[in-house]
Amino acid sequence: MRAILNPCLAVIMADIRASLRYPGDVLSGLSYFIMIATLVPLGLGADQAELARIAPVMIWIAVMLASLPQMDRLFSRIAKDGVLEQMLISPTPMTMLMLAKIIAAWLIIILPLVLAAPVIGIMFGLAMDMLAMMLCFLAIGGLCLVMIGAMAAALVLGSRQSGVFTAIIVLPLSMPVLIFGVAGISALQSGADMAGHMMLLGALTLILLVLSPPVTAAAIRFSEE
Amino acid sequence: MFDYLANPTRFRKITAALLPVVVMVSAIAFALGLYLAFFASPADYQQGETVRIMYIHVPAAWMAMLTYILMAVAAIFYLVWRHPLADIGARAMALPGAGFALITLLTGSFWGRPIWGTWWVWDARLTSMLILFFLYLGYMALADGFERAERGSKPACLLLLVGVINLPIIKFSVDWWNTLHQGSSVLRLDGPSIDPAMLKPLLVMALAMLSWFIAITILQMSRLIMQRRVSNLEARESWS
Repeated sequence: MRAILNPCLAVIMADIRASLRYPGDVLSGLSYFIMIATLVPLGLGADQAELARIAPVMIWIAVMLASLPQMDRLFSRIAKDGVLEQMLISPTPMTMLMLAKIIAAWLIIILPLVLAAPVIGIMFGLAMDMLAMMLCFLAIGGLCLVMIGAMAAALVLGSRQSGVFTAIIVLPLSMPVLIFGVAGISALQSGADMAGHMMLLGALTLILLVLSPPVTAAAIRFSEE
Repeated sequence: MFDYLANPTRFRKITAALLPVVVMVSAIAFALGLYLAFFASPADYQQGETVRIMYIHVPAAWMAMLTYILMAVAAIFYLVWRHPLADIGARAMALPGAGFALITLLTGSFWGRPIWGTWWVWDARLTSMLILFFLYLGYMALADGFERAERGSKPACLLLLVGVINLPIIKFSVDWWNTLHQGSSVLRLDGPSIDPAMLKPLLVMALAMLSWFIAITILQMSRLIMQRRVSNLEARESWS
Protein backbone atom coordinates (compact mmCIF):
# COMPACT_ATOMS: atom_id res chain seq x y z
CA MET A 1 0.00 0.00 0.00
CA ARG A 2 2.70 2.45 1.08
CA ALA A 3 4.78 1.55 -1.94
CA ILE A 4 1.97 2.80 -4.16
CA LEU A 5 0.76 5.68 -2.05
CA ASN A 6 4.11 7.40 -1.55
CA PRO A 7 5.03 7.80 -5.23
CA CYS A 8 1.50 9.02 -5.93
CA LEU A 9 1.75 11.64 -3.19
CA ALA A 10 5.15 12.62 -4.57
CA VAL A 11 3.60 13.15 -8.03
CA ILE A 12 0.84 15.32 -6.59
CA MET A 13 3.26 17.38 -4.49
CA ALA A 14 5.65 17.84 -7.42
CA ASP A 15 2.84 19.13 -9.62
CA ILE A 16 1.61 21.54 -6.97
CA ARG A 17 5.14 22.83 -6.36
CA ALA A 18 5.67 23.31 -10.09
CA SER A 19 2.45 25.27 -10.44
CA LEU A 20 3.35 27.46 -7.45
CA ARG A 21 6.72 28.17 -8.99
CA TYR A 22 5.16 29.16 -12.31
CA PRO A 23 1.76 30.59 -11.35
CA GLY A 24 1.27 32.04 -14.86
CA ASP A 25 -0.68 29.03 -16.14
CA VAL A 26 -3.18 29.08 -13.30
CA LEU A 27 -3.55 32.85 -13.46
CA SER A 28 -4.09 32.89 -17.22
CA GLY A 29 -6.71 30.15 -16.85
CA LEU A 30 -8.42 32.18 -14.16
CA SER A 31 -8.39 35.39 -16.17
CA TYR A 32 -9.68 33.51 -19.24
CA PHE A 33 -12.54 32.26 -17.07
CA ILE A 34 -13.38 35.76 -15.85
CA MET A 35 -13.02 37.22 -19.37
CA ILE A 36 -15.63 34.82 -20.78
CA ALA A 37 -17.97 35.74 -17.93
CA THR A 38 -17.41 39.42 -18.66
CA LEU A 39 -18.08 39.12 -22.37
CA VAL A 40 -21.45 37.44 -21.96
CA PRO A 41 -23.33 40.36 -20.32
CA LEU A 42 -21.64 42.78 -22.73
CA GLY A 43 -23.16 40.83 -25.61
CA LEU A 44 -26.44 39.89 -24.00
CA GLY A 45 -27.37 43.10 -22.21
CA ALA A 46 -27.56 43.83 -18.51
CA ASP A 47 -31.00 42.36 -17.78
CA GLN A 48 -30.52 40.79 -14.33
CA ALA A 49 -33.28 38.18 -14.65
CA GLU A 50 -31.96 37.02 -18.03
CA LEU A 51 -28.39 36.86 -16.72
CA ALA A 52 -29.44 34.84 -13.67
CA ARG A 53 -31.23 32.40 -15.96
CA ILE A 54 -28.20 31.72 -18.15
CA ALA A 55 -25.67 31.91 -15.30
CA PRO A 56 -25.41 28.12 -14.73
CA VAL A 57 -24.71 27.25 -18.36
CA MET A 58 -22.40 30.23 -18.77
CA ILE A 59 -20.32 29.25 -15.74
CA TRP A 60 -20.10 25.63 -16.92
CA ILE A 61 -19.03 26.54 -20.45
CA ALA A 62 -16.52 29.03 -19.06
CA VAL A 63 -15.04 26.31 -16.81
CA MET A 64 -14.83 23.88 -19.74
CA LEU A 65 -13.14 26.41 -22.03
CA ALA A 66 -10.80 27.87 -19.41
CA SER A 67 -9.56 24.45 -18.29
CA LEU A 68 -8.93 23.18 -21.85
CA PRO A 69 -5.59 24.89 -22.63
CA GLN A 70 -4.09 23.78 -19.31
CA MET A 71 -5.30 20.20 -19.71
CA ASP A 72 -3.81 20.17 -23.15
CA ARG A 73 -0.36 20.72 -21.59
CA LEU A 74 -0.92 18.20 -18.79
CA PHE A 75 1.83 15.84 -19.96
CA SER A 76 3.87 17.93 -22.39
CA ARG A 77 6.42 19.13 -19.82
CA ILE A 78 7.04 15.77 -18.15
CA ALA A 79 7.17 14.13 -21.58
CA LYS A 80 9.97 16.50 -22.56
CA ASP A 81 12.11 16.23 -19.42
CA GLY A 82 11.88 12.45 -19.17
CA VAL A 83 9.76 12.16 -16.02
CA LEU A 84 7.14 10.29 -18.01
CA GLU A 85 9.67 7.62 -19.01
CA GLN A 86 10.75 7.26 -15.40
CA MET A 87 7.11 6.78 -14.42
CA LEU A 88 6.76 4.04 -17.01
CA ILE A 89 9.79 2.08 -15.81
CA SER A 90 9.06 2.62 -12.11
CA PRO A 91 7.57 -0.32 -10.18
CA THR A 92 4.49 1.77 -9.26
CA PRO A 93 1.54 0.92 -11.54
CA MET A 94 1.15 3.55 -14.24
CA THR A 95 -2.61 3.62 -13.65
CA MET A 96 -2.13 4.77 -10.06
CA LEU A 97 0.39 7.41 -11.09
CA MET A 98 -2.09 8.69 -13.64
CA LEU A 99 -4.76 8.84 -10.96
CA ALA A 100 -2.37 10.95 -8.90
CA LYS A 101 -1.77 13.13 -11.93
CA ILE A 102 -5.53 13.58 -12.32
CA ILE A 103 -5.95 14.55 -8.67
CA ALA A 104 -3.11 17.03 -9.00
CA ALA A 105 -4.67 18.47 -12.17
CA TRP A 106 -7.97 18.85 -10.37
CA LEU A 107 -6.25 20.75 -7.54
CA ILE A 108 -4.30 22.98 -9.91
CA ILE A 109 -6.69 23.57 -12.81
CA ILE A 110 -10.22 23.11 -11.50
CA LEU A 111 -10.02 24.22 -7.88
CA PRO A 112 -9.03 27.86 -8.66
CA LEU A 113 -11.91 28.08 -11.16
CA VAL A 114 -14.35 26.58 -8.66
CA LEU A 115 -13.24 29.10 -6.04
CA ALA A 116 -13.64 31.96 -8.52
CA ALA A 117 -17.09 30.76 -9.63
CA PRO A 118 -19.06 32.23 -6.65
CA VAL A 119 -17.77 35.69 -7.53
CA ILE A 120 -19.06 35.25 -11.07
CA GLY A 121 -22.27 33.75 -9.67
CA ILE A 122 -22.89 36.81 -7.51
CA MET A 123 -22.17 39.13 -10.43
CA PHE A 124 -24.79 37.21 -12.41
CA GLY A 125 -27.37 37.54 -9.69
CA LEU A 126 -27.39 34.01 -8.30
CA ALA A 127 -28.81 33.80 -4.79
CA MET A 128 -26.17 33.60 -2.03
CA ASP A 129 -27.61 30.49 -0.39
CA MET A 130 -27.18 28.33 -3.48
CA LEU A 131 -23.55 29.19 -4.12
CA ALA A 132 -22.32 26.40 -1.83
CA MET A 133 -24.28 23.76 -3.74
CA MET A 134 -23.05 25.19 -7.01
CA LEU A 135 -19.51 24.71 -5.74
CA CYS A 136 -20.27 21.03 -5.10
CA PHE A 137 -21.59 20.57 -8.63
CA LEU A 138 -18.60 22.35 -10.15
CA ALA A 139 -16.13 20.39 -8.02
CA ILE A 140 -17.60 16.99 -8.95
CA GLY A 141 -18.20 17.88 -12.59
CA GLY A 142 -14.73 19.39 -12.73
CA LEU A 143 -13.28 16.04 -11.72
CA CYS A 144 -15.08 14.50 -14.72
CA LEU A 145 -13.67 17.21 -16.99
CA VAL A 146 -10.15 16.59 -15.73
CA MET A 147 -10.45 12.83 -16.25
CA ILE A 148 -11.71 13.30 -19.82
CA GLY A 149 -9.03 15.92 -20.40
CA ALA A 150 -6.28 13.61 -19.11
CA MET A 151 -7.33 10.88 -21.56
CA ALA A 152 -7.35 13.34 -24.45
CA ALA A 153 -4.03 14.93 -23.49
CA ALA A 154 -2.40 11.50 -23.31
CA LEU A 155 -3.89 10.45 -26.64
CA VAL A 156 -2.62 13.50 -28.52
CA LEU A 157 0.84 13.36 -26.89
CA GLY A 158 3.48 13.74 -29.60
CA SER A 159 1.07 14.74 -32.33
CA ARG A 160 1.77 17.46 -34.86
CA GLN A 161 -0.75 19.92 -33.50
CA SER A 162 -2.61 20.16 -30.25
CA GLY A 163 -4.92 22.79 -28.86
CA VAL A 164 -7.97 22.75 -31.10
CA PHE A 165 -7.27 19.14 -31.61
CA THR A 166 -7.73 18.26 -27.92
CA ALA A 167 -10.94 20.28 -27.94
CA ILE A 168 -12.39 18.09 -30.71
CA ILE A 169 -11.79 15.04 -28.52
CA VAL A 170 -12.71 16.52 -25.13
CA LEU A 171 -15.84 18.51 -25.84
CA PRO A 172 -18.09 15.77 -27.34
CA LEU A 173 -17.16 13.44 -24.49
CA SER A 174 -17.86 16.06 -21.83
CA MET A 175 -21.35 16.84 -23.09
CA PRO A 176 -23.06 14.69 -20.39
CA VAL A 177 -21.12 16.59 -17.70
CA LEU A 178 -22.49 19.85 -19.06
CA ILE A 179 -26.05 18.53 -19.27
CA PHE A 180 -26.19 17.16 -15.72
CA GLY A 181 -24.18 20.01 -14.25
CA VAL A 182 -26.34 22.73 -15.74
CA ALA A 183 -29.57 20.85 -14.98
CA GLY A 184 -28.46 20.52 -11.35
CA ILE A 185 -27.72 24.21 -10.85
CA SER A 186 -30.88 25.21 -12.74
CA ALA A 187 -32.97 22.92 -10.54
CA LEU A 188 -31.36 24.53 -7.53
CA GLN A 189 -32.28 27.94 -8.90
CA SER A 190 -35.92 27.07 -9.48
CA GLY A 191 -36.19 25.32 -6.15
CA ALA A 192 -36.73 21.88 -7.71
CA ASP A 193 -35.14 18.72 -6.38
CA MET A 194 -31.52 18.52 -7.46
CA ALA A 195 -30.49 15.27 -5.72
CA GLY A 196 -31.11 13.26 -8.90
CA HIS A 197 -28.76 15.43 -10.95
CA MET A 198 -26.10 15.20 -8.28
CA MET A 199 -26.39 11.40 -8.26
CA LEU A 200 -26.15 11.18 -12.05
CA LEU A 201 -23.11 13.42 -12.02
CA GLY A 202 -21.65 11.24 -9.26
CA ALA A 203 -22.34 8.09 -11.28
CA LEU A 204 -20.59 9.63 -14.28
CA THR A 205 -17.61 10.47 -12.07
CA LEU A 206 -17.39 6.88 -10.84
CA ILE A 207 -17.53 5.49 -14.40
CA LEU A 208 -14.78 7.85 -15.47
CA LEU A 209 -12.75 7.01 -12.36
CA VAL A 210 -12.63 3.41 -13.58
CA LEU A 211 -12.13 4.31 -17.23
CA SER A 212 -9.83 7.29 -17.30
CA PRO A 213 -6.64 6.30 -15.41
CA PRO A 214 -6.04 3.02 -17.32
CA VAL A 215 -6.86 4.61 -20.68
CA THR A 216 -4.53 7.52 -19.92
CA ALA A 217 -1.79 5.11 -18.87
CA ALA A 218 -2.24 3.02 -22.02
CA ALA A 219 -2.16 6.09 -24.26
CA ILE A 220 1.07 7.26 -22.62
CA ARG A 221 2.61 3.84 -23.09
CA PHE A 222 1.79 4.10 -26.82
CA SER A 223 3.44 7.50 -27.02
CA GLU A 224 6.68 6.26 -25.45
CA GLU A 225 7.00 3.13 -27.61
CA MET B 1 -10.29 -16.83 -40.50
CA PHE B 2 -8.79 -13.55 -39.34
CA ASP B 3 -5.31 -15.02 -39.38
CA TYR B 4 -6.02 -16.15 -42.89
CA LEU B 5 -7.05 -12.67 -43.93
CA ALA B 6 -4.13 -11.05 -42.12
CA ASN B 7 -1.96 -11.26 -45.20
CA PRO B 8 -2.55 -8.04 -47.16
CA THR B 9 -1.82 -9.71 -50.50
CA ARG B 10 -4.38 -12.42 -49.83
CA PHE B 11 -6.80 -9.77 -48.62
CA ARG B 12 -6.37 -7.90 -51.87
CA LYS B 13 -6.93 -11.05 -53.92
CA ILE B 14 -10.18 -11.88 -52.11
CA THR B 15 -11.52 -8.34 -52.11
CA ALA B 16 -10.65 -7.91 -55.80
CA ALA B 17 -13.02 -10.80 -56.51
CA LEU B 18 -15.61 -9.49 -54.05
CA LEU B 19 -15.61 -5.88 -55.20
CA PRO B 20 -17.47 -6.27 -58.56
CA VAL B 21 -20.17 -8.33 -56.83
CA VAL B 22 -20.72 -5.72 -54.11
CA VAL B 23 -20.73 -2.89 -56.64
CA MET B 24 -23.31 -4.75 -58.76
CA VAL B 25 -25.52 -5.41 -55.72
CA SER B 26 -25.24 -1.78 -54.70
CA ALA B 27 -26.08 -0.47 -58.17
CA ILE B 28 -29.12 -2.74 -58.55
CA ALA B 29 -30.34 -2.03 -55.02
CA PHE B 30 -29.93 1.72 -55.50
CA ALA B 31 -31.83 1.63 -58.81
CA LEU B 32 -34.62 -0.51 -57.38
CA GLY B 33 -34.68 1.29 -54.03
CA LEU B 34 -34.81 4.79 -55.51
CA TYR B 35 -37.53 3.68 -57.94
CA LEU B 36 -39.57 2.17 -55.10
CA ALA B 37 -38.95 5.15 -52.85
CA PHE B 38 -39.82 7.87 -55.34
CA PHE B 39 -42.42 6.27 -57.65
CA ALA B 40 -43.77 2.97 -56.40
CA SER B 41 -44.55 3.77 -52.78
CA PRO B 42 -47.53 5.67 -51.39
CA ALA B 43 -47.30 9.19 -50.01
CA ASP B 44 -47.95 9.47 -46.31
CA TYR B 45 -51.43 10.59 -45.27
CA GLN B 46 -49.98 13.23 -42.98
CA GLN B 47 -46.56 14.04 -44.35
CA GLY B 48 -47.42 13.81 -48.05
CA GLU B 49 -44.52 13.43 -50.47
CA THR B 50 -41.92 14.54 -47.92
CA VAL B 51 -42.05 11.08 -46.40
CA ARG B 52 -39.81 9.95 -49.28
CA ILE B 53 -36.86 11.73 -47.62
CA MET B 54 -37.09 9.03 -44.96
CA TYR B 55 -35.88 6.38 -47.44
CA ILE B 56 -32.51 8.13 -47.51
CA HIS B 57 -32.55 9.49 -43.96
CA VAL B 58 -33.28 6.32 -41.98
CA PRO B 59 -30.85 3.94 -43.76
CA ALA B 60 -28.13 6.59 -43.52
CA ALA B 61 -28.76 6.89 -39.78
CA TRP B 62 -28.55 3.09 -39.40
CA MET B 63 -25.31 3.06 -41.35
CA ALA B 64 -23.83 5.92 -39.33
CA MET B 65 -24.36 3.92 -36.13
CA LEU B 66 -23.35 0.56 -37.61
CA THR B 67 -20.14 2.06 -39.00
CA TYR B 68 -19.07 3.37 -35.61
CA ILE B 69 -19.71 -0.03 -34.03
CA LEU B 70 -17.74 -1.78 -36.80
CA MET B 71 -14.89 0.67 -36.28
CA ALA B 72 -14.88 -0.08 -32.56
CA VAL B 73 -14.77 -3.83 -33.29
CA ALA B 74 -11.84 -3.21 -35.63
CA ALA B 75 -10.19 -1.17 -32.87
CA ILE B 76 -10.46 -4.11 -30.46
CA PHE B 77 -8.91 -6.43 -33.07
CA TYR B 78 -6.10 -3.97 -33.60
CA LEU B 79 -5.34 -3.30 -29.94
CA VAL B 80 -5.65 -6.91 -28.76
CA TRP B 81 -4.27 -8.92 -31.67
CA ARG B 82 -2.15 -6.20 -33.34
CA HIS B 83 -3.87 -6.97 -36.60
CA PRO B 84 -2.57 -4.35 -39.10
CA LEU B 85 -5.57 -4.72 -41.41
CA ALA B 86 -7.95 -3.92 -38.54
CA ASP B 87 -6.35 -0.51 -38.13
CA ILE B 88 -6.53 0.07 -41.89
CA GLY B 89 -10.17 -1.03 -41.81
CA ALA B 90 -11.05 1.43 -39.04
CA ARG B 91 -9.33 4.24 -40.92
CA ALA B 92 -11.07 3.28 -44.16
CA MET B 93 -14.52 3.28 -42.54
CA ALA B 94 -14.19 6.66 -40.81
CA LEU B 95 -14.86 8.91 -43.79
CA PRO B 96 -17.93 7.01 -45.09
CA GLY B 97 -19.21 6.87 -41.50
CA ALA B 98 -18.88 10.63 -41.07
CA GLY B 99 -20.54 10.99 -44.48
CA PHE B 100 -23.52 8.89 -43.37
CA ALA B 101 -23.88 10.99 -40.23
CA LEU B 102 -23.75 14.17 -42.29
CA ILE B 103 -26.33 12.84 -44.79
CA THR B 104 -28.58 11.92 -41.86
CA LEU B 105 -28.31 15.42 -40.42
CA LEU B 106 -28.85 17.16 -43.77
CA THR B 107 -31.80 15.05 -44.96
CA GLY B 108 -33.33 15.31 -41.49
CA SER B 109 -33.03 19.06 -41.74
CA PHE B 110 -34.69 19.10 -45.21
CA TRP B 111 -37.50 16.98 -43.80
CA GLY B 112 -37.84 19.03 -40.62
CA ARG B 113 -38.36 22.29 -42.53
CA PRO B 114 -41.81 21.37 -43.99
CA ILE B 115 -42.93 19.02 -41.20
CA TRP B 116 -41.69 20.62 -37.98
CA GLY B 117 -41.48 24.06 -39.56
CA THR B 118 -37.81 24.48 -38.71
CA TRP B 119 -34.45 23.41 -40.15
CA TRP B 120 -33.09 22.33 -36.82
CA VAL B 121 -34.39 21.65 -33.35
CA TRP B 122 -32.23 20.88 -30.35
CA ASP B 123 -33.80 17.49 -29.90
CA ALA B 124 -32.17 14.48 -28.32
CA ARG B 125 -31.80 12.29 -31.40
CA LEU B 126 -30.63 15.13 -33.61
CA THR B 127 -28.10 16.16 -31.03
CA SER B 128 -26.76 12.65 -30.47
CA MET B 129 -26.29 12.25 -34.23
CA LEU B 130 -24.41 15.56 -34.26
CA ILE B 131 -22.20 14.33 -31.41
CA LEU B 132 -21.61 11.06 -33.30
CA PHE B 133 -20.47 13.20 -36.25
CA PHE B 134 -18.06 15.04 -33.92
CA LEU B 135 -16.72 11.70 -32.64
CA TYR B 136 -15.96 10.70 -36.25
CA LEU B 137 -14.15 14.01 -36.76
CA GLY B 138 -12.14 13.50 -33.56
CA TYR B 139 -11.11 10.01 -34.64
CA MET B 140 -10.02 11.19 -38.07
CA ALA B 141 -8.08 14.12 -36.62
CA LEU B 142 -6.28 11.87 -34.14
CA ALA B 143 -5.53 9.07 -36.62
CA ASP B 144 -3.95 11.53 -39.07
CA GLY B 145 -2.47 13.86 -36.48
CA PHE B 146 1.04 12.40 -36.29
CA GLU B 147 4.17 12.72 -38.41
CA ARG B 148 4.29 8.96 -38.97
CA ALA B 149 0.88 7.68 -40.07
CA GLU B 150 1.12 4.43 -38.07
CA ARG B 151 1.90 6.32 -34.87
CA GLY B 152 -1.69 7.56 -34.75
CA SER B 153 -3.21 4.09 -34.99
CA LYS B 154 -3.16 3.03 -31.35
CA PRO B 155 -4.32 6.31 -29.79
CA ALA B 156 -7.09 6.56 -32.38
CA CYS B 157 -8.27 3.00 -31.72
CA LEU B 158 -8.22 3.69 -27.99
CA LEU B 159 -10.33 6.79 -28.60
CA LEU B 160 -12.83 4.68 -30.55
CA LEU B 161 -13.25 2.37 -27.56
CA VAL B 162 -13.64 5.28 -25.14
CA GLY B 163 -16.22 6.69 -27.55
CA VAL B 164 -18.15 3.43 -27.62
CA ILE B 165 -18.30 3.29 -23.82
CA ASN B 166 -19.37 6.92 -23.77
CA LEU B 167 -21.98 6.66 -26.53
CA PRO B 168 -24.70 5.13 -24.29
CA ILE B 169 -23.98 7.75 -21.61
CA ILE B 170 -24.18 10.57 -24.14
CA LYS B 171 -27.31 9.02 -25.63
CA PHE B 172 -28.93 8.69 -22.22
CA SER B 173 -28.04 12.17 -21.05
CA VAL B 174 -29.25 13.77 -24.27
CA ASP B 175 -32.48 11.71 -24.33
CA TRP B 176 -33.19 12.71 -20.80
CA TRP B 177 -32.44 16.31 -21.69
CA ASN B 178 -34.98 16.78 -24.47
CA THR B 179 -36.99 14.59 -26.85
CA LEU B 180 -39.15 15.63 -29.79
CA HIS B 181 -38.13 13.10 -32.44
CA GLN B 182 -40.63 10.30 -33.03
CA GLY B 183 -39.89 6.87 -31.65
CA SER B 184 -38.60 4.05 -33.79
CA SER B 185 -41.18 2.44 -36.06
CA VAL B 186 -39.11 -0.41 -37.48
CA LEU B 187 -37.12 -2.11 -34.73
CA ARG B 188 -39.76 -2.82 -32.10
CA LEU B 189 -40.47 -5.84 -29.97
CA ASP B 190 -44.07 -6.10 -31.24
CA GLY B 191 -43.03 -6.02 -34.90
CA PRO B 192 -42.61 -3.01 -37.18
CA SER B 193 -45.45 -0.47 -36.99
CA ILE B 194 -44.49 0.98 -40.36
CA ASP B 195 -46.65 0.09 -43.40
CA PRO B 196 -45.19 -2.81 -45.48
CA ALA B 197 -45.42 -0.68 -48.66
CA MET B 198 -43.01 1.74 -47.02
CA LEU B 199 -40.88 -0.88 -45.29
CA LYS B 200 -39.86 -2.52 -48.60
CA PRO B 201 -38.17 0.53 -50.21
CA LEU B 202 -36.61 1.31 -46.84
CA LEU B 203 -34.96 -2.10 -46.59
CA VAL B 204 -33.85 -2.06 -50.24
CA MET B 205 -32.25 1.35 -49.69
CA ALA B 206 -30.55 0.03 -46.55
CA LEU B 207 -29.12 -2.86 -48.59
CA ALA B 208 -27.96 -0.41 -51.26
CA MET B 209 -26.16 1.76 -48.72
CA LEU B 210 -24.64 -1.22 -46.93
CA SER B 211 -23.21 -2.70 -50.14
CA TRP B 212 -22.02 0.74 -51.25
CA PHE B 213 -20.32 1.11 -47.88
CA ILE B 214 -18.60 -2.29 -48.24
CA ALA B 215 -17.38 -1.35 -51.73
CA ILE B 216 -16.02 2.00 -50.53
CA THR B 217 -14.36 0.38 -47.53
CA ILE B 218 -12.64 -2.20 -49.75
CA LEU B 219 -11.40 0.52 -52.11
CA GLN B 220 -10.21 2.70 -49.24
CA MET B 221 -8.44 -0.23 -47.56
CA SER B 222 -6.63 -1.14 -50.79
CA ARG B 223 -5.62 2.49 -51.19
CA LEU B 224 -4.29 2.65 -47.61
CA ILE B 225 -2.39 -0.64 -48.04
CA MET B 226 -0.73 0.67 -51.20
CA GLN B 227 0.02 3.97 -49.49
CA ARG B 228 1.75 2.15 -46.64
CA ARG B 229 3.80 0.12 -49.09
CA VAL B 230 4.91 3.28 -50.86
CA SER B 231 5.93 4.99 -47.64
CA ASN B 232 7.79 1.84 -46.51
CA LEU B 233 9.65 1.74 -49.83
CA GLU B 234 10.48 5.42 -49.55
CA ALA B 235 11.79 4.90 -46.02
CA ARG B 236 13.99 2.03 -47.24
CA GLU B 237 15.20 4.19 -50.14
CA SER B 238 16.26 7.00 -47.84
CA TRP B 239 18.19 4.56 -45.63
CA SER B 240 20.31 3.15 -48.44
